[in-house]
Amino acid sequence: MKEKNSIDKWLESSFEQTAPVNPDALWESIAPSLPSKSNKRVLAWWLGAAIFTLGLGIALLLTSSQDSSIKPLENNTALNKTNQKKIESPKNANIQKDQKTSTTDNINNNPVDQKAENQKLNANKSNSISVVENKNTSQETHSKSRKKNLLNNTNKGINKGKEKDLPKDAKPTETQLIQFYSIARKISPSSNDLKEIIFGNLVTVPPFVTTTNTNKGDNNNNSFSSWTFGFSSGLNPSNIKSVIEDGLQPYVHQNYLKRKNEGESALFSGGFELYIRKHFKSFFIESGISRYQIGYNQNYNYDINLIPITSALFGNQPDANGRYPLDDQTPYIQASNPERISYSNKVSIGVTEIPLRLGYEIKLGKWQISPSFGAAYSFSNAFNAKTIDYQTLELIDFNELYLNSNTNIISGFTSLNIEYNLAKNLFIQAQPYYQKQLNNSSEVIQNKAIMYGINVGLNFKIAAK
Amino acid sequence: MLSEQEIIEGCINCDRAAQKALFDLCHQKLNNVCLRYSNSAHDAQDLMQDTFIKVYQKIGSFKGKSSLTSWICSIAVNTAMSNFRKLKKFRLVDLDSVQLEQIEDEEYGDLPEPNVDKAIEALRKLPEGYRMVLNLYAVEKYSHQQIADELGISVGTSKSQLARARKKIREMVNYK
Repeated sequence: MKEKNSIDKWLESSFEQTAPVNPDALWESIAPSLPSKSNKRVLAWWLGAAIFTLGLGIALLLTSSQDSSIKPLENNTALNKTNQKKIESPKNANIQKDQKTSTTDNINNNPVDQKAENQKLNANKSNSISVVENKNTSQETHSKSRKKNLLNNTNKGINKGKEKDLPKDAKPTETQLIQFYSIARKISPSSNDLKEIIFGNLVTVPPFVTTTNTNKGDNNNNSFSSWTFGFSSGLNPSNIKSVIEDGLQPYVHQNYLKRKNEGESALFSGGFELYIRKHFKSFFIESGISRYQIGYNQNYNYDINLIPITSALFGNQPDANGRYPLDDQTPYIQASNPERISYSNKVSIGVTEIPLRLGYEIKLGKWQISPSFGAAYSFSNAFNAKTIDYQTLELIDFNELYLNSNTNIISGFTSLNIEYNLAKNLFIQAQPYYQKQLNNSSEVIQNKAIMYGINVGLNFKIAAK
Repeated sequence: MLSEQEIIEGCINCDRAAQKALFDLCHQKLNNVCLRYSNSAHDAQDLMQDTFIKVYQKIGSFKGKSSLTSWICSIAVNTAMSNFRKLKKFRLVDLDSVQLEQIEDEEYGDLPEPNVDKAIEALRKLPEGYRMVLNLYAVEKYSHQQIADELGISVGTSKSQLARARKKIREMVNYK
């Protein structure tokens, strides 16, 4: 007892002194791994960007809905007033350039062209009018005066054939306006421009005028510089090619490797994505936020009859998770009574991902094929998950095994999205993909996992200018 | 000079100045603890780093029942024990069978003057199991039952590890 106390006291007394330390060097080695405001800022920026994207999407969606809302034609007094104006001499029909704008608009009521067009229209027994618009018409500015003049022209055109029969308060019917729009659109492909010129704030915009990208196959022009907002959801059978053992080979128990392939079922995930897509003709850039759950089963039966002898006894250094390398030179003890351990375990990991995708849309009737590629930032967490310790073969907490796991993953991916238009705005899709991690999984596992699989699900999307 | 409360609040807000102040406050004592539980200076630095990361993550839960430095040192000890537990199955397999040997006091002379460098050097030469038990029993004042519970070993194993550890230390510091 005396001996015990003396050693203990000697140790205690020794450790009352302080060991020499270089605090500056120590701090410099520790500081980079500590939580910092900048990390929080990065997260805040990501969240802010995601919220902004969603907010922008909703705002544009609402704006788009308001734009396409139908107002009763009769209630539009502005149009009635315009229609009530007496048609003046032909020279007043010249559309004057807006002096206040620097636009290159040069809209003329060319008598010759108008006559020719009217003849054509009259031949079709139509009351439609004609507008000849220069190709270099700007989409940027449209003054009220131009609208007014155009409407005057419109009225003149409509009234031209029936001027004598028309009542004083005659106005174009919705059908007439639609007919006019369809003709004018052939002349100027800029449908949005025409929509504003013809309908402006004066009349109801018929539903067909809205530029909903419903995959009709003829909207390539309309899709230029437009937006799509969508929600997709589905299931995703997939596989991880770069299995964990690639990076853990020196560390794992023999039986772990042997049983791994027998006992682990394929990866399966399901989730949803909110996204926003900006179109540039047929090209697009897309981002959003997705959340999906990865799950897989572990079913193992281990006969623990070999126990490796490791530790610093052999001069080894532990890894970041406190585990020592095992290799061909590692001695194993043969246990006299092998221990049978059976596991049936489900691992569930939630992943939030923010992708940035570039792609190209190919439309074939109701089909749409979109090859794309991009990068994604994701962060994950395991829910009550347990897994097999690759050295002790014990069932342990997932986060304990991956003590220093990197849950912030940057990955690159490529995919081919094949969609079929089921109904207005609703698509069914299949999306084979290939995704590779660009950073390491953890300090221990120096590998970059490869995932590949296929997303199968529904995609609801709305387009807007 | 920041007060303890200001340091805590600063660390919660990830303020680098507060983190540095906390480091300055406790690094010497913590360094001693980490050196006691590690094989090398490099391991001690890793343990210290792990400890600080945990401290900064959990500092919001500090209740003030003990001094801040004691609380941080207890986290270091827990981290060291946690690391040890992960390897206990293999490390202790050849230690369970150790026979308690009667230590002959007469074989050794008086202990030298306490010296931290010598103590660290001696501890590093011990197998990890010995070192862990000796540290917990002699310095942290754990009972054998507490050690057995914390490390998942039997009380008998704890006692045998302690006896062997003391003997080894005795041999090292009194070696003639």
